[in-house]
Amino acid sequence: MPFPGDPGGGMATDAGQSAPAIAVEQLIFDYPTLRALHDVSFIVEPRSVTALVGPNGAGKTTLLRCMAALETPFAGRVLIEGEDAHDNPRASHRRLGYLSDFFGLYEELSVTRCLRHAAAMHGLRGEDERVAVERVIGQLDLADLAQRPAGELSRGQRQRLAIAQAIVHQPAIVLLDEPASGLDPLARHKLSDLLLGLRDEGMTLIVSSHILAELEDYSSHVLVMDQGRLVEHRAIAGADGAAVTLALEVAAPCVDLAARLAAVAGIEDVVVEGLTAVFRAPAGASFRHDLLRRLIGEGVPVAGLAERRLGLRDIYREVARGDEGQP
Amino acid sequence: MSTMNPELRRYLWLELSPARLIAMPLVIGALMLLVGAWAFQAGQPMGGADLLEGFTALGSTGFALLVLFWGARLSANAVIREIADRTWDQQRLSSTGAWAMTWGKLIGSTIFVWYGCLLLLVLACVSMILWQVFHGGVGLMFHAPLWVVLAQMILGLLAFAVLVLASVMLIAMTAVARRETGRQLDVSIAQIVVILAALMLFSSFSDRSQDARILWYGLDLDAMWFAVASVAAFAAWAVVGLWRRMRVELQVRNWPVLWPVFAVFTGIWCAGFVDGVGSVVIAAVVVLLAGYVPAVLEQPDPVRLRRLLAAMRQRDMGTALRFMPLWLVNHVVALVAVLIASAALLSADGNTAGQGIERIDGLAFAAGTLFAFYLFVTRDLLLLVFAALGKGGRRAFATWLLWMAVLYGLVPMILAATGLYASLPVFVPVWNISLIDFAVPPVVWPLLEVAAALILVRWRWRRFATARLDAPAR
Repeated sequence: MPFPGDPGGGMATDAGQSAPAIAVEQLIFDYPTLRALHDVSFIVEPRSVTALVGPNGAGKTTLLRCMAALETPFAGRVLIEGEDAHDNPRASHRRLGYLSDFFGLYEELSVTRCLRHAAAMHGLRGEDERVAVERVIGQLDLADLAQRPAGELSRGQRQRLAIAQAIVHQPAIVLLDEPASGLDPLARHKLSDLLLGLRDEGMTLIVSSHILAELEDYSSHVLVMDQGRLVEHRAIAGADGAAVTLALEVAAPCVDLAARLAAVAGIEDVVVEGLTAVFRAPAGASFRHDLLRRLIGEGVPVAGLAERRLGLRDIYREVARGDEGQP
Repeated sequence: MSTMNPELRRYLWLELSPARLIAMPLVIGALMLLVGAWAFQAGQPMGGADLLEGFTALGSTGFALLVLFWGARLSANAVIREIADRTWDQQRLSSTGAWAMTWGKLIGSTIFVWYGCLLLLVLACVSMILWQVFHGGVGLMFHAPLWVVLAQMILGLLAFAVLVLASVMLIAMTAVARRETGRQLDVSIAQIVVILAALMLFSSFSDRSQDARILWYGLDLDAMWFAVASVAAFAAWAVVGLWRRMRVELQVRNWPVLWPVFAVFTGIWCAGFVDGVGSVVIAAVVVLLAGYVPAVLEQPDPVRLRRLLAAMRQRDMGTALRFMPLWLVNHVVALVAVLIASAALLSADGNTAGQGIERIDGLAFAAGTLFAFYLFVTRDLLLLVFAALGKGGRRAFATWLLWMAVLYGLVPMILAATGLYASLPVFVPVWNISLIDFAVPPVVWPLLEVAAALILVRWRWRRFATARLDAPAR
């Protein structure tokens, strides 16, 4: 299982060279008669958006709650920017924002007061509190609702307020559990834009959702859980610096095509079917240009080279197929 | 206002609306009118004094009732409502510390009640001052200078309010931590427990009309000041307990030391009322019985027990201590207390217990009662673990309570009714029968019962063993 930061595994960004935003190490979580997380380990790089997917009961929410230091694991640890979240949960909460799948709001308080309270609970006082609230009201497009009681908001508006509360203190890491559930298509689109905006501001996001198409819009990585186990964690094709799947078409059969491709540094997993070779290769136009020039130079009858996008849904299907194939 | 405790500020926003701020004095004013109407009825010989006495009573009694019936409910509901409304996780995720959360919730959730209490306290104080100035009533009734009575009333009522509100919030938070259904039941139980405790407290110190004195560790003390100091001390303990509970909720690591220290404090406080070696016995018994409270409130948690066993297997005593249930730590401390009390009994002059207990054979008391008592409590706690590990875990407490009623009530009554006194030590600790009356020493029976309870717990534990969880889930 490739990990971001491993050779050929993940993003090669500037941030990738710094400490991971989140490091989960051999996490085990028990309910009285059920082990909900089995020895889960992974690393999340800063400024990435990780889609946490899996069927119901896979352990997604338990994992998020452990990462947010809301639950104490049976064993293992969670490092938030290098600090053990369970050693000092209050400190890690300054760096974290978390939106639960079943969140509640203070129904009788106005939107502004809900946000002021959330900001103050994270230690923001006076002018800092005011600035933080104004900023997040703008970010979440809540200005028109500022004086409305939270209890009078629609589902989508409540969701926006809940996200605003989770990020009002500008955390480095945001964990969102099913943030799009109950939202209409337009609100979902706005949510995607918001999450991309947060990533661009430097936040690291982990988003759990059942709606894969929507996750695909903004996720750079995917983390697949099944029955409490981590079954896949990899970068999604097209993410910055990630390996991509390329399809090479030749005009005539070429017997040693697989060997020629495998000999190129950076190329892996070559599969030749008929006149087409599919393989993993570094992303970037310069690599494709160099590859084409080399193959044509070697006399390979190249007819075309195109990127075959392997999206989140493909990865999820691939993992699901793999699981079915296991004894 | 922006530098205020955020929890307190939130409650101020919610609880203190202008309408409510006006409503409370209006209600108190209406009650004053009612008292006034009674005081000036025909046939009342001294209307003015009666009126001021009535206002004093209205202020002080109203304060106590407001705290007991309204404040206690609000306080118990504070966290329970957050859990029901799904806002508790947001609070737990904040970076506000446990102490700020504790006092912010304690004062904030009951801020409207505090407002009413403050008005009633002012009413009581002003009425008392006028009563003394115009009629000399305070001096006549309390046999003490006005300032002493005022100080005792203000400090006593404030300490009482803190004790009640903190205790009820602590009980409700601990009970709801089991995350079971019946949260409103938790609120009601917490409130009833505290109301009963408060009534007992009031009845103990109700004799204020005379210059009452109290003997405590041989010291001749003013009973009223002693009551005020005691309530203040237990109020401080309740706040400390609440702070510790808040730390648990906020996932801050805790050591299980506060409860045993509190149990020892309570034991020492109770022991002061008894002379001689009996005081040590009383202290040991209080420490021993204190173990039931955390056991019943927290109830054994299989995951916590599994963590404890895993840490002990790895000889990681620091982690083991963190996951050790409070009742277990308390029970170890209780063993030390029982040993000390037994040693004191056996070395007492003339091999007799002191004034507080009738002349009893010391060895019989030590072996037949104290150790048997310790073993019976051990059995009870193990049975509670056994019940909690059962499939009807949610009904564990009710099931256990039924067993206790049968073991300590029904069966001994049947034995007594049928004249089978020699069989009593099988079910209850006996102390008023000489050891030579028994073919088998009384401690043997509870010892066998402890062994049986251990076997039962071990049998039921199989369902929760880690090995089962490690098995592949697919």
